[in-house]
Amino acid sequence: MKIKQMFLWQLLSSRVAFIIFFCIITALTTILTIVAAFVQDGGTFNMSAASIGVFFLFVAGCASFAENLHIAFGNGVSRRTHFLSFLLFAAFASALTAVLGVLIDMIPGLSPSTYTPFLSEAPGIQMLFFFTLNLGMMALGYFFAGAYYRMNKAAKIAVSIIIPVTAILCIVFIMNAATPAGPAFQPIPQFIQWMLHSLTNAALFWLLFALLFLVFGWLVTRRAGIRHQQAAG
Amino acid sequence: MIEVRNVTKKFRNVTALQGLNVSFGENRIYGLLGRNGAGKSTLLNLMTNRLVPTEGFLYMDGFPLTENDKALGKIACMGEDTLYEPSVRLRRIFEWTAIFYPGFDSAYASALAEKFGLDVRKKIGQLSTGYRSIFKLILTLASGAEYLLFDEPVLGLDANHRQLFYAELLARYSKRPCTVILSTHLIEEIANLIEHVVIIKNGRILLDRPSEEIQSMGFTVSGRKEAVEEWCAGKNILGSQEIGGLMLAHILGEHSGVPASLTVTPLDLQQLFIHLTNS
Repeated sequence: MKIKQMFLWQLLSSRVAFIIFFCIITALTTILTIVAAFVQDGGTFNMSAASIGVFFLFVAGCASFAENLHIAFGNGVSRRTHFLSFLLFAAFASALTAVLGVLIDMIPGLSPSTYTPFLSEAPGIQMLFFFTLNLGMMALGYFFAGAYYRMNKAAKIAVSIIIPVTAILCIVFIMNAATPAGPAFQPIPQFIQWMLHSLTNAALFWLLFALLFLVFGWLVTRRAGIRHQQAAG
Repeated sequence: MIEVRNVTKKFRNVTALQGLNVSFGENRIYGLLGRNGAGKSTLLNLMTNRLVPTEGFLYMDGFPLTENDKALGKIACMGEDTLYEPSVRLRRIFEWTAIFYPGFDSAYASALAEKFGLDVRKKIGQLSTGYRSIFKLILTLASGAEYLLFDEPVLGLDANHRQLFYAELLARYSKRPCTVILSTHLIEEIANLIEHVVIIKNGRILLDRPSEEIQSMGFTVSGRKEAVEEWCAGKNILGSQEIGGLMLAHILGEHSGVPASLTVTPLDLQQLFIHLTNS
């Protein structure tokens, strides 16, 4: 198994992106904290770097399919090893981003006059929550990229229209689900309330979400082929 | 040894390979020939796990090849596709390849790049078709792998670079024997290099023989047109060429009773290929 090599390659190829991202977030948080402290107009400030990291890792997940798979193909690495190395890297990147995100989010706390914490739980719980959320988003990004890679042109066009429309409808539905609904939809607001009740509950949900999309990710990986012949198929 | 057993590969309505059986032994140079769409690239992609067979199995030294990192690590393949992002610099890819192939010879790769005039500071996206081929050739030659697979290795290369490639391939082969599989349409250029010929037609193996055997399948006679035409009458002629008053005829069968006025040379592989693969 060449998991170590694939993991090392992913570290080498993505380290610059991660360093730049964390430098920008740290710099922005620091500068905006100082600015907020000087303005002193009674406003509050929280950069929520950990939340921004979630979007970053979603993009990283999207970028982890085709390029990594081609590197694997070009260097005698099986799909299984490629996927396992992604899993390892996703866990590492999610943990790193969660820890650094929560730590960076502590910077505004140095100026208590303007700081209102976004999350009130202990840092350890926050890190666990963001770790599972990050992992879920990376898995989702990987699955999206993999599914898109496997599709033919017609399917890509159909999905490009159907998915955003469905997502918008789902968001509208969920936002309205908080209001009294018919018995068939009652579990949804109950579930959302359960999730919002504590970060541990939410972490559990995102962990299951990550596992589900990792399974989907493996399904799109296990028979993926080289791009031009894939397209021919 | 790489064994391909009853392999079928289908792409929706197209069957690229149909119940294919072929073996590639150790330390030999193979020529993998076939017309466009015959299934050569598909076979090479299956041998490198870049595609999954619809049916059948591939083995290396008796062990399954598909999804086997250890076996796949013994193969380096220069395929049609460029598997690296256009924004990556060549020297970076040399470094990455060394991670995956412990036998990768960086010094050799650099020396080859210099011989071919390839600037390793460039990005892949900045290379012309020819230099992209050269870059992939260098990666494969310097990989240190036991099986070197080349799919259209000289695509876009000028005559000088093609000659240099063949010379470097032979030098690598003699210095460190390995199995080489050359898939190309430039049959005349590799005819003297290859020890074994595999011809694919419509996804099936049409011919799988050592070069010596193929040469003994026929012969070429040349001489004055009238003399060649007279002697060849009634014989199994694969093809012929005329230049002025001279004629060259490729004939299937044993050469006996050829008059002294005609010159006999070994059978031309390209003529045999054209004859066998013409529909």
